[in-house]
Amino acid sequence: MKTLALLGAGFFLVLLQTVGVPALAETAGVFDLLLPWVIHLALFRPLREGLPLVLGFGLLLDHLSGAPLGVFLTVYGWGFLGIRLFRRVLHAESPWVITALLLGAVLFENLLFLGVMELAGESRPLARDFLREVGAQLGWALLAGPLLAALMVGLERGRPGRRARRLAAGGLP
Amino acid sequence: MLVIGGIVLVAANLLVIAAAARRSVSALPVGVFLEIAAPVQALAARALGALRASWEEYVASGAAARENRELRRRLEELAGREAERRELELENRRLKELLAFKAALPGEAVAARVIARDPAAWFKTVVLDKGEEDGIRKGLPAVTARGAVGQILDASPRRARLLLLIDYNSAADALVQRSRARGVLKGTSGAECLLDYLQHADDVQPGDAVITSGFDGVYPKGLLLGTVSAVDFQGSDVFKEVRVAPAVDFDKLEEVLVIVARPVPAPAPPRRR
Repeated sequence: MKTLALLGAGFFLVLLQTVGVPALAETAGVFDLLLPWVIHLALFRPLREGLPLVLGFGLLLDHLSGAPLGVFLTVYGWGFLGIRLFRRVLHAESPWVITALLLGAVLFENLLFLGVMELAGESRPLARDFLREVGAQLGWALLAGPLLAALMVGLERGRPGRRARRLAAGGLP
Repeated sequence: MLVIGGIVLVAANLLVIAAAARRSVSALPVGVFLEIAAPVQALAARALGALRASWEEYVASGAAARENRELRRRLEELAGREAERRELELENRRLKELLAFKAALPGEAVAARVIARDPAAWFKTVVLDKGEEDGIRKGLPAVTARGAVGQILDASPRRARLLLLIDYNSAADALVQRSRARGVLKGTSGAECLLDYLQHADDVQPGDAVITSGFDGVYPKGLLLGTVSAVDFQGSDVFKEVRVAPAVDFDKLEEVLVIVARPVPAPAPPRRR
C-alpha cells in the first residue's frame, strides 16, 4: 500500500514538474521536484522498496527529457545509494540534515548536467546563466527543505502511530 | 369566616372602583408615580430598543452576509468565465496569427500544441500533441509567427519531442540580416544563444536581426532567429562572441507549426549550347 502511494506520489511529481509548474510559472529556478522524493525513499524506506522505484523513475525521466539517456538514472541511483550510506551516521529525522541532503542533491544534479553538456553539447551554458539558475534552485531548496523535512518525518511517524492504534484495537495480528 | 372575609373584600373593592369611576381618587399625586417610573421605563425602553436594533441588525447582517456570499460566489464565477473568455480570445488571436503565417509558409505545415516540458531545467525540449500519424518525423523544423522554434528530436505515432533552439544541443545556420555575415547559432540552455564563427571582418552590431540561412537543410531561409544583444571581441580571438536574444519567448510557447513538406524546387531550365 505504501509502495503504491509512493509510486503515485512519484507520478504526481513528474506531472507537476513537466506540466503543472510550466503552466503556472517560469520553470527557471525550480529544482528537480523528484529529489526530495528520492531522499525520502533513501532515508525512510527499505532498499528493496526504494531502489526499484528510484531506478524506474530515473529511467522514465531519462525518456521524458532531452538529456542524454542515463543522466537521471545516475543522479537518482547514486543519490539514493549515497544517502543510504550516510544514513548510518546521520540523524535522519533532523530537518537540517534533510535540507542539507536536498541542497547537496540539487548541486550534484546540476554539476552532472553541466558535465554532460560540456562533454556532449554543441555549446555550454554561459557562466552567469549557470550561476543564476543553480543559485535560484539552491535558494528554493533551502526555503523548502525544512517544510519537506517536516512532511517526510510526519509521514513516517504517522505510520507506526497508526499501526500501534490498530494493534491496540486488535486490528493487526 | 374566610368566605365572609372574601365577600367583604370584593364588595369594598367594587365600591372603591365605583367611587373612582365617578371622580379621580388617588392616595398620592400622579406625578410621583411618573417621576419614579419614568426613568426606569425610559431605561428599559432604551435597552429594549437597543436589543431590538441589535436583533434586527443581526438578522439583517445574516441576510447581508448570505447575500454577500452569494454575490462573491457569482463574482468568482464571472471572474472565472471572464478568464476563460480572455483565454479563448488570446488563443484565437494566436491561432489566427499562426494560420496567417501558415498560409505564408512555403510548403505544408501541421499545427501542434505544446503539452509538456522537459523535467530538467538545462535541457530545452517540449512535447507536442501531434506525431507520426500527422506527418511529423525526426529532423523537421518547427516555427511560429515570431520565428524559428527548433527541430523535432523524435516522434511516436501521436506525440513528438521538439528540441528548442535554446537547447545546448541546438545549432542552426544563420545570417546577420543587414550585413549577410554567416555563422552558426547555438543554444546555451540559457536565456541567450551564441552566434558562432563570425570573423574579425564580419560586420555585426547589437540590434541586428539574425535569420536562418537555409544552408543547413533544416530551416527554410529567412526565418527570424533573434536579435543581436551583445558583441564581444578580444583582439586575440579568432571569432567574435556574439550573443543573440531569441525572437521566440520559449517560456510562453503554446502552439507551433511543424513544416512537414517543402515545395519541390522547379527543375532548372536546360542550358543553351
